[in-house]
Amino acid sequence: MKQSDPERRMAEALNRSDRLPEGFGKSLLNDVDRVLGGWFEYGAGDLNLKITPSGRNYYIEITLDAARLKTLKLL
Amino acid sequence: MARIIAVVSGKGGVGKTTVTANLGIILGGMGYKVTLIDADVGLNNLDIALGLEDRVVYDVFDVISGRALPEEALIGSQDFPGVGLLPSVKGSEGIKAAAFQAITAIYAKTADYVLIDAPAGVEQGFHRAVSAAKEVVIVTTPHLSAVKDADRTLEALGVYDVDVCGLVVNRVIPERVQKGEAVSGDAIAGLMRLKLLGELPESDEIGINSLSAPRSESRKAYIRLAEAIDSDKEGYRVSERKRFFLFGRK
Repeated sequence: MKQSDPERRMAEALNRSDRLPEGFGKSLLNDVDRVLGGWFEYGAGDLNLKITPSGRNYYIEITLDAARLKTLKLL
Repeated sequence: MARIIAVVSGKGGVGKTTVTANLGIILGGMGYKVTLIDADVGLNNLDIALGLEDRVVYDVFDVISGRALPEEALIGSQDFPGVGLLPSVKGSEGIKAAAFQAITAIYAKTADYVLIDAPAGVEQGFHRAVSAAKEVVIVTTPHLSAVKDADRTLEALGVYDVDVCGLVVNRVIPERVQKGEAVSGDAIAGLMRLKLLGELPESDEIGINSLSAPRSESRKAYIRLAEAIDSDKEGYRVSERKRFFLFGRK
């Protein structure tokens, strides 16, 4: 379907090509695991990142200002 | 356990507080117990949107500091059955996100819906509101700057454990969409890869006044928005609006 001018302008403004590719987090964690060989905890100010290996999985807990942002399980 | 939904926008002035208030009123009218929490602690006006500003005694900070019990701080109104408001006041900016998360969880135990009116932007206030929520509704207008900010907000939400229910596009003028001068809610939702929960028509009636006329398009749109969130029904589109012509008018 043909886009109107405002639609085309909006589509260009929301160009998502500069976003991180899928799997970025996993490759980063693989690097972390390779370097540290196990658990990893990082804190900078109110931001805290904790990565815990469990068997072949990883649990990642991210907190900011002591409130949980996200807990991820990576297979 | 309640559904805890943060209403966010990115850009200020898109009608987020009005959407939160009206959605709460409609859900309350559907028989649900709804708790509205004003998390816009710097520029709080959810109490004003509900016309309850003269009833504020306790606020979110009083509950967190133990000066008031959670139920004690809620403001109810006979005009809005089932709806309770936890207001905030200026100067509550120092509230920790973890404390806000904890009191939200308390309210969630006794409600069907907890709606959190988040501040604009993606700063600390946003974090406080979203980290306490399980779901998020994004509100925007069809304007490019608002949509761009809403999209940035969507990106920021990627680091939270929340489900994005979808997008509400406020202040849509159907005539402008038909002429190709403005972008429709469906097109915006498509670009953002979100479900469109509904369009809300541009209206001269501000706030809860837009709900007062039983047959108003705004009221109809808000009912459909509540149904879209509550039971996954199709959201309202302003193009559905019936048009009336006066005889003899040229």
